[in-house]
Amino acid sequence: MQVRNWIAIGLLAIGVCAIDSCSTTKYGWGDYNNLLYNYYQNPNEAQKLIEGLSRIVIDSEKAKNVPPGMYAELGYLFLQKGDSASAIDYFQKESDKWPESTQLMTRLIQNAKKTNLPSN
Amino acid sequence: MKAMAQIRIALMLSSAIYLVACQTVVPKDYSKLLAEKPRSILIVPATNRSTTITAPDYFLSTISLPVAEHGYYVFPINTVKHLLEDEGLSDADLVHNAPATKLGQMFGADSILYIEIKDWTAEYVLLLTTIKVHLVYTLKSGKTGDTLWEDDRFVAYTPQSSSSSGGLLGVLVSAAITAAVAKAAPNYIELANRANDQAFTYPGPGVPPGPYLPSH
Repeated sequence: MQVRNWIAIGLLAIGVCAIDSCSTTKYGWGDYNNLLYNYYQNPNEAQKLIEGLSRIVIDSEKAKNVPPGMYAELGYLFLQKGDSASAIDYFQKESDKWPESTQLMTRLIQNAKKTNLPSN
Repeated sequence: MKAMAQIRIALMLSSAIYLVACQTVVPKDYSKLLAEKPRSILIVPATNRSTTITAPDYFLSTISLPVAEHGYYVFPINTVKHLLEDEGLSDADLVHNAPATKLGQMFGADSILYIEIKDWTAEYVLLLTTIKVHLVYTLKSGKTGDTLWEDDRFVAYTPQSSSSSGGLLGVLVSAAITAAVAKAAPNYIELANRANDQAFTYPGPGVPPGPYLPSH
């Protein structure tokens, strides 16, 4: 009886895994690959990518598994949109979390500050 | 009779050895990679030798995840692409021909991953579509420009029609529909994912895990 119960629990776990696709990734990528794919299909839909990546950042911050590059990617999209303040915030977050990125992020922050007009 | 049996055994043995020999892969030289222990990987836009012009961009959406999950810091791939364009390097061939050390300095990257798309096509033959993806990966040191690791992956897939009812005509019609669907929207991404997974499997053909994996 007990054995049967364990089998049932095991099968249930497998079932839940199948439904949830049993994410075994280290980082919380969300639908990052699809978002990037769709953006390359429709490059003028940058706003959709910004919204998608913002969602990934929020979710992965909660789960404490923000993927490398994610803050920077979002920051650069804000920079392209002309929102240098948000861009600088995200570049700084990337730099704080990943020391490997510091050289590039420092450069990007400097550039973003140059484009930061007084009227902003 | 006994001699025949012996010959048969000898043949079986030799074919078994032949099979084993075929599967033996020359062990890769990891010495430079293990000596350098890169922490970060800069993935630059892929060069394209296929006839599908959308291949490099679409491929780019598949590659960050497996490399980062392998324990390396991966530079923001879309940002890198735009920064290179700003530097006048919008052509991937120019990027691949530039010294790796220059890219290493520009981005502060320990290593650079180059991908050449050799094939990314759907072939339509006799009601069957075969989708092919062939990728060559090269990891170079950002400090010395030396090649640290290389891999070559070819994956192909022929979608099979799922319906088999309705006799021969039914089979032919459903095969034609399957092929037409596959031809209209070939699932290259799934193949690229598979190629990436195979290329990064370690132990196997892949690079050893990076600093952010516990097994490092």
